[in-house]
Amino acid sequence: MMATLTDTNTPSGAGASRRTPTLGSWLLTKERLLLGVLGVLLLLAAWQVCASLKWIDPFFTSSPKDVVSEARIYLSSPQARVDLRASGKEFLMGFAGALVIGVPAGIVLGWFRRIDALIDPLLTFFYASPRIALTPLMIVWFGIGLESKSVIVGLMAIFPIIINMAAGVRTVDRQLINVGKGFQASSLQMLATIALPASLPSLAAGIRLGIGQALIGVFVAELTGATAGVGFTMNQAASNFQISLVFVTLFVIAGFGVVLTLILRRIEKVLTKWQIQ
Amino acid sequence: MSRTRTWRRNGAAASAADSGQLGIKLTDVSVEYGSRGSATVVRAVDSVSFDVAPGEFVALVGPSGCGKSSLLMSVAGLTPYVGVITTQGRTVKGPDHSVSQVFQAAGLFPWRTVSGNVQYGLRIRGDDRASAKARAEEMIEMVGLSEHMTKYPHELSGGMQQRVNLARALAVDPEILLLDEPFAALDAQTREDMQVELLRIWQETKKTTLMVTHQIDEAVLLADRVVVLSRGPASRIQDTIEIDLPRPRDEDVKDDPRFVEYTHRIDDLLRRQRTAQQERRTA
Repeated sequence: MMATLTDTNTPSGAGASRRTPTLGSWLLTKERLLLGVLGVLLLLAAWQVCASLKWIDPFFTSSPKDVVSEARIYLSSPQARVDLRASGKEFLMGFAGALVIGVPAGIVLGWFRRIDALIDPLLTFFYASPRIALTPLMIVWFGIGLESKSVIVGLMAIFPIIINMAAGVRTVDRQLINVGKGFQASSLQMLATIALPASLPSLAAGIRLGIGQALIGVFVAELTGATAGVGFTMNQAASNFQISLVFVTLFVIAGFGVVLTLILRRIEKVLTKWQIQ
Repeated sequence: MSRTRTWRRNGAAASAADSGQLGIKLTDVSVEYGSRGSATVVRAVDSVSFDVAPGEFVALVGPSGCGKSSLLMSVAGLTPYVGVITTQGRTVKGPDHSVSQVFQAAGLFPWRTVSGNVQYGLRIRGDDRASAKARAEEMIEMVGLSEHMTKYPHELSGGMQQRVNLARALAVDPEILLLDEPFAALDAQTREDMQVELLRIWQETKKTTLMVTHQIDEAVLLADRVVVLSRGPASRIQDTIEIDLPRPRDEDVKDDPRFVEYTHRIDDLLRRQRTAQQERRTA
């Protein structure tokens, strides 16, 4: 800041500083991003230093260097392909199910006050209960295959989707509803032209929360009776003290979530460009 | 639910009133409100009767809280009432296709552009995309927003939003226009501009108009007749004043001595309401 100020005050530097941004001003505009990256790098460096100097036992904690070399091996192995396919399938089927059931259910609950009153206690009960604890029951009901795992993923993801969708539909501005009524819109027209577009931002928030929950579901589902999957490999690695591999799989799952969230944010931006930025 | 019940109760009287008289007709209309299922019911408006002839502009003024907005909502078919209201000769049982409303809050759909908002009523009633678009363009031009056709509501000022709202209401070519303090949320300068704009548009379209306002000069500037309600609860018509000012009018009419006289008279009526209220309170 100081440098820029003195530049503009001196006649020779005045024009130049306005046209070409200085390194200092570029750093300022990217400040948040750069500080974020710096935070990650500092943590990795500290981890590496602690492991190299044996302040912590690398056998139990691994180190960034070991994690990177382990990642090279794992990601090029056939095991990784099998794991990703298995986990991906569970996630996709479960999440698709959560969307297909959750979105219409949320709309119905948000739109019909009586049905909402009827279902709300049940919804609250299931939302508050640790659904993950239903895993053994799901295995009894659906077996140890893809079905039970998808159901667990779906169960995790569906609640934030239903609850946010319903809240979005329920809280539509009365003024807008009156406009629809004034033009004699039918219930279905009001739903399609007012309630749904108005609750799109709320649905997006529900889906974002749902992604996180679904990833937890993938991992937990693979703890029991799985033969492949990123979560399965993580669990195996931990029992065999392959700590580097544990971290690799952790980053794979987290990275998957980050990528999905970024894609969603992009879609959201296009669909809700009418919102005040 | 309570709405349908009220309307059904009026059924017998209503069919007799379906006589084919155009414009708006209110006969012994009362509006009550109370929370659903609670025993306390407040009668906001008590047995009010007046007409708005086809092509006439009537303003409804009264102390705040007298129920003038509730009464307008009843005419719009959005609030239950007791008594008989007909619009274009039909008993009001709900929103009617011949009636459009403009409320104080512009109520624009934030996800629709200016053009999309104006097209809304047309698309709902089933007009095809092309003709709705053409009609919307025409309306947007009338309210002077042709350059802002593709903007979203949050990009517009309050005055511009209310213009879009007016264009949307007029796009479906209603017989009757209901205005509920349409400019109350605007700053003084914009409000005056909008009053003149409405005056011009009304003189072009000659819609049967009923407008609720608390701005006395606005009522006198625009209306053929001003209905003054008494203080609520259970407010009644205190007086009706014919505004005998030449048409077409423009803002210069405010310099007319009769304009000043009318505003003073209505102001006096409302002031008397306030003093009566205070005396009752001290007694």
